[in-house]
Amino acid sequence: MSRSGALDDNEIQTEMNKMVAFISQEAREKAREIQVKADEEFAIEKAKIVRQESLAIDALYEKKRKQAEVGWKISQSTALNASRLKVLQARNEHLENIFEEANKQVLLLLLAPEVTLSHRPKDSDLVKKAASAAQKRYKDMSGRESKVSFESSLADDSAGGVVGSTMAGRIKVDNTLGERLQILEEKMLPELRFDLFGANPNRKFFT
Amino acid sequence: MTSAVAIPPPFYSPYLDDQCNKINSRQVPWEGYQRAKLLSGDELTLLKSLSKLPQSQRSTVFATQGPQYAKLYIDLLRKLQRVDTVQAVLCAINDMLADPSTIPLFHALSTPENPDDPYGPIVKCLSMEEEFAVLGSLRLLAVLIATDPKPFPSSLVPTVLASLQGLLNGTRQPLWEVASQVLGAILGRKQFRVPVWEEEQCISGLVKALKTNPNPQAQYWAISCLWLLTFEPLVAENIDKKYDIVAVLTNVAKAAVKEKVTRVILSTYNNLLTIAPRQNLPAFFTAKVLPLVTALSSRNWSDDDLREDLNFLKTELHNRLEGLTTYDEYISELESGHLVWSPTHESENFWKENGMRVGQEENGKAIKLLVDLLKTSKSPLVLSIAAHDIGQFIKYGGDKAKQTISNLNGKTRLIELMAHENPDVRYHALMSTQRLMSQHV
Repeated sequence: MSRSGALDDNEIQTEMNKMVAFISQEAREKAREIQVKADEEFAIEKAKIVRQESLAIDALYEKKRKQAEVGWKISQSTALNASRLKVLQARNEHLENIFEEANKQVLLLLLAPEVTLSHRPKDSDLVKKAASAAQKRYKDMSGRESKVSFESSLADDSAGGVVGSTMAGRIKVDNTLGERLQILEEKMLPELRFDLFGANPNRKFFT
Repeated sequence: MTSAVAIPPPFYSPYLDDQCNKINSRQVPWEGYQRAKLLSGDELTLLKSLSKLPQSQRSTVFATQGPQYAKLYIDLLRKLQRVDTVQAVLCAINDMLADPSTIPLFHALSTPENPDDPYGPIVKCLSMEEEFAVLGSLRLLAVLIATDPKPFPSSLVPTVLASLQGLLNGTRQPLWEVASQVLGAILGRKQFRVPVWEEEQCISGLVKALKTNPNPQAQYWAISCLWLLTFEPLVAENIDKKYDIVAVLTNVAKAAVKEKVTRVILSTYNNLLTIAPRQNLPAFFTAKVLPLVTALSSRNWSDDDLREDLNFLKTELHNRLEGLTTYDEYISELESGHLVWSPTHESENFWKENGMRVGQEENGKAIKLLVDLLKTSKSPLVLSIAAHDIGQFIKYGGDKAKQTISNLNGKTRLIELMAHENPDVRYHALMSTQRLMSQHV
């Protein structure tokens, strides 16, 4: 068997080593390429996820902030209303005090034709006196006679004044002071307010 | 880089290995250093005990005492001045790093007094005059930097890059080979991509080698570096403009014999097209990459990634080509005033289909724009293209085309341009004037 051209064991070993080294080098180069590509893809994915999540967090906190803002607005509005109510209540109380005072004043009488004057018992003399004077004036003004009958039926602790009724109680004119005061209370509120509390700074138009 | 044991990048240099063997066969007189108080008694013991063991048994020592050895070697590099001792230490570190599990031991050496460790002392060796000191240090840096999860101290970057660019532009091939592999290793770290891009000599050294050296392995190393650079958007946008890279790579690809060279070229194309398509598409068309890619597809490749890249490039370039020859694209190019030799201008089909439209749509707005560009532009490229387009318009624009051009004073201007200083401008002006004058188009 000719051995020229064939390699001996040492040479074979060297050649094999060279081939192994070559294959190993090629493999490591390819491995490097794969690793680099993988790292880059990882970086891109990570950046994408981070961005998504931070947008989500921003949205969540925006929502929370809005909710907090709404809640604050509500409580602010509630507090404002409560304080307004308090002011109104205080004014109302003040007003009622004034009316109470007015109720204790001295009386005034007015008349209707053929009236039955219901009045407080203790007023009966007063009423009788006032009634005759009134009748006279009535005659002057309207030329009619009127007949007055008296009834002491009003409660004693009311403010006084009379309730005139005619035709057996079918028409009534409530002229008690309380009633008159009531009417006044409602009608005079604007002027009262102005006198008591001064002008309203928020108001621009006055009739 | 989240592997449990970091994979060091491949490194191949029989030249360096040879030198290492020679250095390792010498005996270093460590005792002398101990007497000079540069070494402690313990350190001496460490060195001597290691030198008694053959390479194959040293890993057990490193398993237990690895950290001390790592610290010792770096401290020695910091303190030593003598060339042959430095060489010995560099080789010793290299041998130790052959076992990848020792790599993290070096990464862990950074302390408050020496925050740049282990890199500081190694970079110091780069300034030594002796060749092996430089090459050996670079090799160590490649392995350590590529596998380090922490960033490299930025103050040391310029020194490293200066050293590399010197070797890349030098004349000696083995040194170039070491430098290109080291560059490839560190470019795996994002941190280095922009600094290397700014170190222009590095890149020009690589490109020069690509143009002159036909060796496939050298080509592979050079192109790998370029590929890694193109992951950075700044690079992808500008590298072709500066270095004409698409043309260079296409030339290499046409002649490439080894699959891995083609593989890495295609990966680079992929990056350029994906990361900065607008800037690179014209180059792709001028260099006729699509025909190349189509031709390559017919060959039998064994690598899956390569085939994927090939398919991607083929489809992408094809679609972009279709997209680029639309009428609207043409109009927007005219309006911007930046004419380039895109497929629109060259494709006869485009003119056949759109010639009439150019003259008629919106009262001939397009043709007015074209003539305006002809009159006002100072750039020879734009003038050539405008002149050429006018010629095409005359050919396909219908009977009134010549009249339109004359009315807009285009004829006078074309004739003027026939005497322009730029030969391309003269040529296209001549061709178009011919068409304008002749009875048969």
